[in-house]
Amino acid sequence: MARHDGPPADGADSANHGQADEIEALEEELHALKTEGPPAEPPLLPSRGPMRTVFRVLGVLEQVLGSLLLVLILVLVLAQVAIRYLPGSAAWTGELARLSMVWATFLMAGYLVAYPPHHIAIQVIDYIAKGRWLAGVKLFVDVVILATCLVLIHGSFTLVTTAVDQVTPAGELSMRFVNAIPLVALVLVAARAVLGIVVRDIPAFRGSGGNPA
Amino acid sequence: MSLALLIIAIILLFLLRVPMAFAILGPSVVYFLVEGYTTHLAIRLVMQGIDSWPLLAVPLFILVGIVATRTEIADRLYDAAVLFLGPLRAGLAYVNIAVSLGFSWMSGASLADAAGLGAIEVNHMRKKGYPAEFSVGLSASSALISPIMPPSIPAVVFASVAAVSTGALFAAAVIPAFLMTFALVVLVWIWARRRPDLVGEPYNRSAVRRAAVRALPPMGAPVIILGGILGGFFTPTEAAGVGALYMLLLALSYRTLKPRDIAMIFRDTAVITAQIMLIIGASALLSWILAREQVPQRVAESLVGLTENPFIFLLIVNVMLIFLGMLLEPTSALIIVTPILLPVAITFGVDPLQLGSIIIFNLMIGLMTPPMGGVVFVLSSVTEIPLERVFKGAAIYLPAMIIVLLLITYVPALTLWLPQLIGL
Repeated sequence: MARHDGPPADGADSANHGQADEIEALEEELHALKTEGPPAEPPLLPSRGPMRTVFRVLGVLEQVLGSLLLVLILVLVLAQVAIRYLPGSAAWTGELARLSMVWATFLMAGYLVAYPPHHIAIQVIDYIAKGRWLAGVKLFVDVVILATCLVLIHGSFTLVTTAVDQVTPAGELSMRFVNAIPLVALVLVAARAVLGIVVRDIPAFRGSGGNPA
Repeated sequence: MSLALLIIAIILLFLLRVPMAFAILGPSVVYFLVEGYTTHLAIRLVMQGIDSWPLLAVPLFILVGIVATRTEIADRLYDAAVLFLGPLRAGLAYVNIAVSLGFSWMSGASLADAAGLGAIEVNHMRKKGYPAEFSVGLSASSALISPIMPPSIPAVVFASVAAVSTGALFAAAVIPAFLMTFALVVLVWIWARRRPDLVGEPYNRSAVRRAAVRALPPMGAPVIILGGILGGFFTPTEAAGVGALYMLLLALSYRTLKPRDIAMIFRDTAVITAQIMLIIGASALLSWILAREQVPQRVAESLVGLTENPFIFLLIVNVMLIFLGMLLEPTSALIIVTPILLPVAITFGVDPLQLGSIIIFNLMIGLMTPPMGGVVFVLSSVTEIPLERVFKGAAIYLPAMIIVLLLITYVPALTLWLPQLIGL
């Protein structure tokens, strides 16, 4: 907390220094308060080998694409505001912004599974179940995610293979492309669920360690 | 597949720590398979749930909130509040409320407030001798101002589902949000009377003036966002975009943002957007199933059969929503209950704007109650105060929240006066 014992300032240099020091001290203290916090959990990755690199690169790609899509949404929404004052229509900006949000959501879904605990979940069970029981619960969670993804992958694949000649109304983007991104993203989520089962859940359930994340 | 089985499966999966989106999606896709619907209809409904122009405001408001907390902007607000309110007895408690109020004009999510400001507020208060439960409970309650005061992400979601004007719903929420702030201030004032030891530090008028000037540019964001929407210059989505641009430019002008920080801001916005949007997509699928099973009609018949008194109807709605808010994540609960309750509420003469405020307020209370209590989990994580102590702290402020809820439930003018006044 800042000390309030400096001289009253009414334009004098020394007083200005006093105010600056006061606010600076407050900011330093705030920074110290801000940086206190629990350590981050490790990401879900294979312990070693080429698969570790593959999943790490996939994680980075998902983050980069998700961030770029967010930038694109911002630019397109601002463009929509600007275009309102110009002649002509640009309905495609709104359409592309909406689709970008759909793509960003699906592309980040794998990241949410791999870099826990990003998904919103009730973790009350963690206070009740311990050891193997908790490992069993986590195994069950990954099986549910995997099973759900497999059904949705089937649906997405059907969408991609049937919407051959369809295009979006405003931007005339191929619906195959539009639907292909969620398909790829769901495959990545399923891959993360399999990874979780193999490298974390089964070893933990058997009592032989595993990635604690 | 029976509807009861579907609901039980979803609740069981919630309790077994399955991510909210998958806890809804899993049983819903099983329903699709059992009932003979195609899987591509399921994924299309999920995508359609996310593919919405009004909902585009959600990532942009999240961006505004993240820029505010990750840069000097939040610090400037905090500095000003500490120097201005710190001298009062229990001043840091008032600072906690004031900063949340200021932040609520830029951010629409309680979790962003709790995560961004919670650690600063609670650690600062504890270091100055405030009890941990009182401090963390106050942060939990004040964090709920953000999703109620416009711009509010739950309001964007409700408006999108209920097909009402987002601007009008924003206006409807202003008085309830101020009432909530006032209730917290009164509670702190009563508490502070028994704590003469928590004396404030003396005023330094010039430091206060300087900090107030430094806090002025950040307060331009709410002027752009709320002024833009309520003045009819922008749609809420456009206002969110312009507000996000303003905040980014402001943060850049302070020269404290490095390129890596900007990348992290967009990355974290994408993460939170995906968390929320996946739940919205999953809930859209569940809503479709509920509509197909004629749940809204059945609930309407049951409620009308139960009572014809709007007073009792609203009481039932509140009890039901508080219970739902305790179990469900607010976004999914909003998408599921809005289509069910809206037609019934209209038959009882309840205005959709008032219903929206009631639903949002109820579900936000669920963020500070067990077992879901999202704000409590975040605060426990960032302050390292055990969960049960955070819940205990939040319980101190629950009666005040309930009183405000009852006021907005039974005094329609509190939500309807302002939208009518500005012609929305």
